Amino acid sequence: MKRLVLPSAENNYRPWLLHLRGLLTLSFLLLVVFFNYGSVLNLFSRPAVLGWQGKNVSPAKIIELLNTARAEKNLPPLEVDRRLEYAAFLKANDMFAKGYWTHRSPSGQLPWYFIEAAGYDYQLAGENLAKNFSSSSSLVAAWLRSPAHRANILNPDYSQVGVSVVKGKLNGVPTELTVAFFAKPLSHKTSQLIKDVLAKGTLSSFQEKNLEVDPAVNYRSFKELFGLGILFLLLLAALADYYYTEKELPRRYHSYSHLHLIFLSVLMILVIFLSHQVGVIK
Amino acid sequence: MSSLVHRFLSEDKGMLNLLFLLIMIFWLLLVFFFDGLFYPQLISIFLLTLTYFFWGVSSHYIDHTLHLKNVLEYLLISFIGFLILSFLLI
Repeated sequence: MKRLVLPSAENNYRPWLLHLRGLLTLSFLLLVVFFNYGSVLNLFSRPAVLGWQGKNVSPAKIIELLNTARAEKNLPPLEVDRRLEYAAFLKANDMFAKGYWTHRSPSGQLPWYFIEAAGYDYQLAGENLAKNFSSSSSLVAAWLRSPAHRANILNPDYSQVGVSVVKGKLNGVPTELTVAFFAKPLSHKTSQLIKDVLAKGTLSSFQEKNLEVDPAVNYRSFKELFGLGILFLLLLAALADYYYTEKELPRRYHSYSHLHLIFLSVLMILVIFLSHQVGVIK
Repeated sequence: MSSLVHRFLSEDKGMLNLLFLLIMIFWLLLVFFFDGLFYPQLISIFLLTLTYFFWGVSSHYIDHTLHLKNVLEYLLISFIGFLILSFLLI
């Protein structure tokens, strides 16, 4: 590690990362991780969470896998409800139209806004989001690895589900969004109770108490952390190289370490101030 | 930091450094300005990395130290920078 970023006799007084071999290795690693992330993970027998356009993600397969996971816990299967499917479709299209990928839309609409818009009366509801998975199995596996998503899938109170997979461009980037709504429908009796509550003007408190929202799975987080890590190491190496050439080799005439330092600092500034997703699992 | 500024401006090619730095800052501001717009931001990032590449190569050229190794070094760092920025920001 020391040889990577600090100048020493072992690396001819230049951090290894700034050598051609080091830079070639970093370029190769970035290309592999950014463009073939799923395959890299497969090498370590982890479920693939491949980027770009998923080709094998289908609502039917997702629901089948969700019910398999529930069956393993002796839970009843989730029934498909067309209104929940439509609600998921509405949510996905809203995310494309407004360019966001969160549970709350930029205009403040919460997930159940879409459930209600689809004409579904719910007692309890939850939402799982995902984007750009390579297959239904990798998507469901990722949800099951996340405690919050897993809780939605294995919630015994949910009895119905609606899943929609929609392709489009999210902020100009080709994206495939998956939205799953889990819900427990209102019984007629409860529906009447809600109407009574509504009549008294206290529906909002009822909703807050009974609705659950869980974070979406962000397959990009690993890539972003990886990119940020590489940038940080390069900046560290450039800083060490600059310090060494200035303090230890003041007579080294042709040194351009300051150019690397300036460029990498500019990159770091941009990443810090503009990256909306680094370190954040939405 | 002061030594960096001193070194930056006191060299024979101080004006060239200043010019390239200003161009780089211009692209930096454009990247900020075009945040959320795919193609304009991508082009700004590309031009930012291209400016760095030409800055490095021209500095070596003026000092008569330009070798293929240097060109490759700047090319690779530019490429890495472009990859990271385009994936993290866009």
